[in-house]
Amino acid sequence: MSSAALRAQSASDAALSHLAFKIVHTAVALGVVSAVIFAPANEATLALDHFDGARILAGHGIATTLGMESLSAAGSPTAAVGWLGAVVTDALASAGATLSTFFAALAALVTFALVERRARRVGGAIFGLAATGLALLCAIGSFGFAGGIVTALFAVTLAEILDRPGTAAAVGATLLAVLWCNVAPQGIFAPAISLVLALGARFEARSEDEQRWRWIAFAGTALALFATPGFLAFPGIALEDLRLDRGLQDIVPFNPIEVAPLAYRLGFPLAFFAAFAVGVRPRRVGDVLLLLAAGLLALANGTYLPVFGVLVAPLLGASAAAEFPLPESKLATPRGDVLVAIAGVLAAAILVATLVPRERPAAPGYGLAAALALDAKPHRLMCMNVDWCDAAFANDSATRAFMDGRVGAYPQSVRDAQVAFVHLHGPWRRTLATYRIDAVLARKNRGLSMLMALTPGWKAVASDDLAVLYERGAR
Amino acid sequence: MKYAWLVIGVLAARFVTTAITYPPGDGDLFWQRALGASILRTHVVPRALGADTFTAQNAPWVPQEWLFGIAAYLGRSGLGWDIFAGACAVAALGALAIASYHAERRGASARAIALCVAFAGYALFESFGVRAQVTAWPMLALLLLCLDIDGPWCYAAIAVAAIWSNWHASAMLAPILGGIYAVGSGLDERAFGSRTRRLTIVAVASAAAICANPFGWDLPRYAIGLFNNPIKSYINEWSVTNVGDTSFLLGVFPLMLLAAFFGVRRTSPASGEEDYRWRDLFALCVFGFLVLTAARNIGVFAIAALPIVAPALSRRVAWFARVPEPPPTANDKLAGVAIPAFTFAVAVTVAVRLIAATPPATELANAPMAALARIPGDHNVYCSDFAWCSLALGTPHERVFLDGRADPYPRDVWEDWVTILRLDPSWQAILARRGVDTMVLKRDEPLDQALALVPGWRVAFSNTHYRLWLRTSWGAREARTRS
Repeated sequence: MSSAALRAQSASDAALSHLAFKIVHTAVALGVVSAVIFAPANEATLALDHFDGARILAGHGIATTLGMESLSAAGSPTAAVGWLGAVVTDALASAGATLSTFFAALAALVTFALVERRARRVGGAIFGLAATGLALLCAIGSFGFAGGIVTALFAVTLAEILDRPGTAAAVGATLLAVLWCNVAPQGIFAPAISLVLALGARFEARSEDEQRWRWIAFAGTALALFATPGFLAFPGIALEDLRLDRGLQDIVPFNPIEVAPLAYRLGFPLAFFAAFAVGVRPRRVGDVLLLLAAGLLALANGTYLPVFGVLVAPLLGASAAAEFPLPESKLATPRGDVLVAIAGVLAAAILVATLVPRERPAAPGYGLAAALALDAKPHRLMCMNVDWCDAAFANDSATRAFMDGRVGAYPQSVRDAQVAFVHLHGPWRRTLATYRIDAVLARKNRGLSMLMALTPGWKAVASDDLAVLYERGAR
Repeated sequence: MKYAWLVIGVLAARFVTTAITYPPGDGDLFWQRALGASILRTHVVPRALGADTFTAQNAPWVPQEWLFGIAAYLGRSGLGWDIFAGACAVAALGALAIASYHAERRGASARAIALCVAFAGYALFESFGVRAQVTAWPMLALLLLCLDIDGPWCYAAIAVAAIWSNWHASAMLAPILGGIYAVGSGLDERAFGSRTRRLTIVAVASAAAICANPFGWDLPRYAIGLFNNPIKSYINEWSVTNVGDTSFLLGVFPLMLLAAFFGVRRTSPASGEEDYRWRDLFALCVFGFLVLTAARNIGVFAIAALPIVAPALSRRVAWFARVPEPPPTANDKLAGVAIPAFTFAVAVTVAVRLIAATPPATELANAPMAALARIPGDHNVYCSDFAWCSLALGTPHERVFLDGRADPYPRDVWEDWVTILRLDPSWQAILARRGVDTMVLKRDEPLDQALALVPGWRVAFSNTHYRLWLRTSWGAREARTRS
């Protein structure tokens, strides 16, 4: 074949591969958007955010303690954890399903675009895409509005910023950490991630300059923990919110198999299998620390499986590229093509999002609590699922709950009483008497429900697919 | 191995202590002893449940642990118990020793083996007990060693599979592992070479070998059926592994991380180039999947990963590197025997002291069961922990709803048992329909609280842990009307 023909063949191959990549990118992006559209919203976060957000906007103030809505721990410090996230989530939710879905899709797309970008930088186009796929598998079940993908977005953005240590990265990481800490308690991950990377640089004996900037970034992100309305109280309360206390799993599910069963069965093992196959290359202490921290985090709480995916996938992409070197020149994709594809997908997302029903049907359990809140009589409520109680606070209700989804703000004695109530252990009836509980929201067809039905003086007054509402002295 | 022996010695003290002080009244051991006694008396391995259950009489049964049952019966008390329980500890230690030897054969250094044995040993802690599956651990380690041998000894895997199948149904792993090793070897060799041919023969022959037991083809069929058996969701040890399992967190997870960090490449001694070990990759993936899906596989993963991870650690980290050793002197040879002997002597001494200092195990439901035996009449017994009902097996006039044999009970029995336990709406109707007239419950558990609120039941025995409930005559009439 002549050299001209070879050049033409090569140009044709390149064009084909670019086209194939555009198609694959578009398909992945469409997959992400579809996943967001069809994923259920996180009702627990939404109900509480609605309560907090509305209160902040109405009162023009940020409460740093539990209010009178809490029956058992009014006045306990909350450090206003997640206040900004509550305001934004409530505003988006109030703006309607289209806008909230659009922003959820946008968050997911940016997350995976960043994963792809980081993985492509170290592993090339093919493995960049494969790493994105892996991260996607780890995020199945977290795509819904107010779902866990936002934590992954912050984590991957921070990792992206810290990839290029320097003044800008240190400042950027600090600002991002400030934002993250005000949006969610998971903001305490920011200094943890920075610390892992700084320790890695130290053990790998990187240049002094790099080490210095990494430590400065860590210091900045650590200081950011105090840049919230909770000030000094934030780290303690946020840590308590995320504490890996196995006793709490009885009232807040966080076993990965329960929280994100598909991600735990598909993405998590696949990441380990890929690592078994190729190892981590180049072998750096920072990478093994990251693998250790992200793996433990995901195993401890399934909500963080997406964080594991977005942090570990680029690392595995790089390892795979070291194991199986590919002719990169043919496969390089101009950045502009990806951006065009993403823009196209976003446009499609707007169209599709408009098809989402404007009103979400009330989720089982939450609906009953919300209906109770509309009752003229103020109730003293205890819920088998603490998140259900969040919905009881809506609409300026006078209903008070024994314990709600802000588990971290409640003292240990209240948590223990709630666990005993859920398992019908020990003095659970005494708790009902002591706090003069007059309404109980129990899971249908479970022991509590049956015992309430058998207990004189209590009567089932409403039920849905998941829960039964019992009232004391109801006729 | 020299450091590994020290670690194994430390573990030996712990395993022997746990085994000897293991609750002799454990529900599983009770039915296993009853099984062993029945086999020794009748010279027949039963194939169906007998009249000791009122819910599943004549249900087909594959008592896969028949040989363990005989051993459990022979070692039911006194010195026999010490020997029998001690043998279970030796099985766990044997698995670690075989896996360590396997790692050494593959080029692991003494330091790397010691570290990995420490992780693997810790991983075995939670699953360890005087239990049939523990006797399967050395079989697995031996099978993996045989499969890794490039020579005629590879065929010994077939014999291992046959023996294994008489102790525990996990022998089903033998042909599966043989198969994946054959495929992996083919990919490693990039040809259907001698090793691949040998492993293929082993895989096929192992499939036949696991039928070399009193149940024949029924054993692998039973094992395959167990994969999708819904009853697993009601049994604790089949629950999904989580970070709360310390054996996983401090034993298996470090091994997984090391395997993930180093990967499965190794340097070929012949060419000096790296070759890709598909066999190891497949094994890690299979056992990795198993360990993430059920806590009972934690120990199995550790035994399989040790010979893969320790050599990788030796190759990749200088401090763990294997240094060429000069030919052994007489002192070295003496040390080779003396170190293990000293280690085990210390371990046994420590174990004996620990056993003496360990308080007696908390009884199971012996007290309510003893109280029930004194109450005249026939009893259809429901236990809220089905293992307790194993204590009633063989007792005249007592028939159980569900007991520790668990597997042979049909699905509808399990569903009814759970419906009652969870107080689902039809729980009282099921109690009536099944003819339950006796209940052994943990004091103050939800079902116990519910019985106190419904008419027709009375407490016949109560202590700080248990309550024994009997239907009143009025309750029995009501139940008959209801059913």
